[in-house]
Amino acid sequence: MPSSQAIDNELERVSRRLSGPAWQDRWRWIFLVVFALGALIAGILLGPVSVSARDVMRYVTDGFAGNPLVEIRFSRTVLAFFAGAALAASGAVLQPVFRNPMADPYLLGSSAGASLSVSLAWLIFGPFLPGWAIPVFGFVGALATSLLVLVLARLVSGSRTAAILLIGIAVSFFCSALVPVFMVLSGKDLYAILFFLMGSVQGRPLTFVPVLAVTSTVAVVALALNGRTIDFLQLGEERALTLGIEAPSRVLSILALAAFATGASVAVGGIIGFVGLVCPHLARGIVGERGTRSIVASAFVGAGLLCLSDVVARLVIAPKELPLGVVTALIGSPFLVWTIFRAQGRE
Amino acid sequence: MEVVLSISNLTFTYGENGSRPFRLEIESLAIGEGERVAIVGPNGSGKSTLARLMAGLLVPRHGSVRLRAGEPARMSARKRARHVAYVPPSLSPFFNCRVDDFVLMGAEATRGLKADVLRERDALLEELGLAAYARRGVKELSAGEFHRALLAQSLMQRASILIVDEPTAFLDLAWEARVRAILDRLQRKGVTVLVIEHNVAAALETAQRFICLSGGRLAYDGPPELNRVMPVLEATYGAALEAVFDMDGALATIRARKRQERLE
Repeated sequence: MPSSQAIDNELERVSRRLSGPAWQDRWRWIFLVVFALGALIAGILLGPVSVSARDVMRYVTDGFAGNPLVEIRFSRTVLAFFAGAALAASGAVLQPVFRNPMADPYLLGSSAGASLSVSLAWLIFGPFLPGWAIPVFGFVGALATSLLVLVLARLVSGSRTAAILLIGIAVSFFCSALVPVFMVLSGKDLYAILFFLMGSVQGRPLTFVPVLAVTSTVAVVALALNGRTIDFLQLGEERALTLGIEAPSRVLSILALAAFATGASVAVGGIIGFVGLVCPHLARGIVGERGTRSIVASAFVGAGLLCLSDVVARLVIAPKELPLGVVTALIGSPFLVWTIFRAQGRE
Repeated sequence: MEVVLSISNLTFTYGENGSRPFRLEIESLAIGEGERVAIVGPNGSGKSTLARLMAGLLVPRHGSVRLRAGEPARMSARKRARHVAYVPPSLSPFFNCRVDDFVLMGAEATRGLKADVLRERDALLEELGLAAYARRGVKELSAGEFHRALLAQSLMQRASILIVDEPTAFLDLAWEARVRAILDRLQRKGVTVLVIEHNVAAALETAQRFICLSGGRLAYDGPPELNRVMPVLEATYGAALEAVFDMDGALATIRARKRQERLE
């Protein structure tokens, strides 16, 4: 029979282990933070035209003004950082909730909704559509589609997660089918809209930075606070309910948060694939599978990976640029295959 | 005996307006405190549906399922989990969480993390032969070991009603007997134990009350007396059955007659 002191110590250990990052994993967390911040710094400094650390310091101390080149680099890299964090954290939540390792943040129809909204705006306004309006239409489209999916799923009895999954697919296909129709009907220069659809953080104004930084941070923290609930939901909605978790309402609120995070990211960076799918798998490989820690770790991995992808996007065919979504897909696909082989090897 | 679970004029169908051709209809059923009830019936007769209705996981179309504290389907999840624990026949976790953490989840939402909860978890891990695997991932367990972990998780709820769908699924002979002994002990402590069984002989041997479902209706509800139950079972399963006894005269199994199998 263990002594009461031993039980108290065990209780403290269990509480710490279940509630968040564990001290014995500190080197893994230090690695993640260094990776994300290192990628952020590399993203600001590296490009077809190099920027020195002194230029960046001067730009920051001058109140984020005075050097247009640094401003462009700073703006796109910080946007990539927070968009990556939001997408990866959303993926880290959606995979266990849907109990599907292939679930990604666009499952709720946000990418298709954003594409539809932007192409519709392009059809109506054409060249008169200002650059800043594309992300706004993207955000509205992404959020509206995700909410539509969640509302439709509420009307279905039985397993809500299965309903959301199927309705999400149906709505995505419907919206995606209309996008080329609107694009053809518009008959105008489609370069801007194509770049949005393929994902890019190029040329986004600095004013977007604080908006996405706050939105993404709030969303990631809110998702991480739901980590323990996600640990229950990964057992299935019905089992979580049996164990005393209000699964249906918690699923909806978690999905709404993920949709919000994804919508904000799509608005700024367009449709960037693979980050939300691959980063959670990589993060779980580093810090383990439990909800809170895998969500936070995914955010770091996603932030770092998208910053590095942006560097690759602007360097590979400089002075031209690849769309960010193309780079993440090219980097993400082999990673995914590696993850599958690694998981198979473990089993 | 005080009634802890009652069903009246219950109708349940799957899908909107009963789009799936299954209908569960139970006019009246009352389960008393501390009863040990076995529910048997052929595949598709509604056993698991009835169990999930009793656990509040499904909502009746008509009629009601009531616990002492109210209708389970309308209670908060936490309140319901304090009253009813349900062990599903199988489960497939997405994460490979540790066995001790998996078992602890049974108490976390309802009782919180406390010293006595940890002691109870350790005792259950020991009793169900899982102590040696406590730090392993649940996905590394065999099917039988995982089923024991699932039972331990449900027992951590300390609910007054325990509903077990297939208690001995995947278990070897020794563990089958040990799990049945655990259910006996719980019943002696006053827990109401409802067990969905495919092993009709075990149901007759262990339960105080025997319920047989056929096509979504109660075909038998009464004491587990072989001579009264056999004709009902033969009609329900649509086969000529025979009871086989061991050398001590105890019921060993109930099986379809071989002659009939040859005829088929």
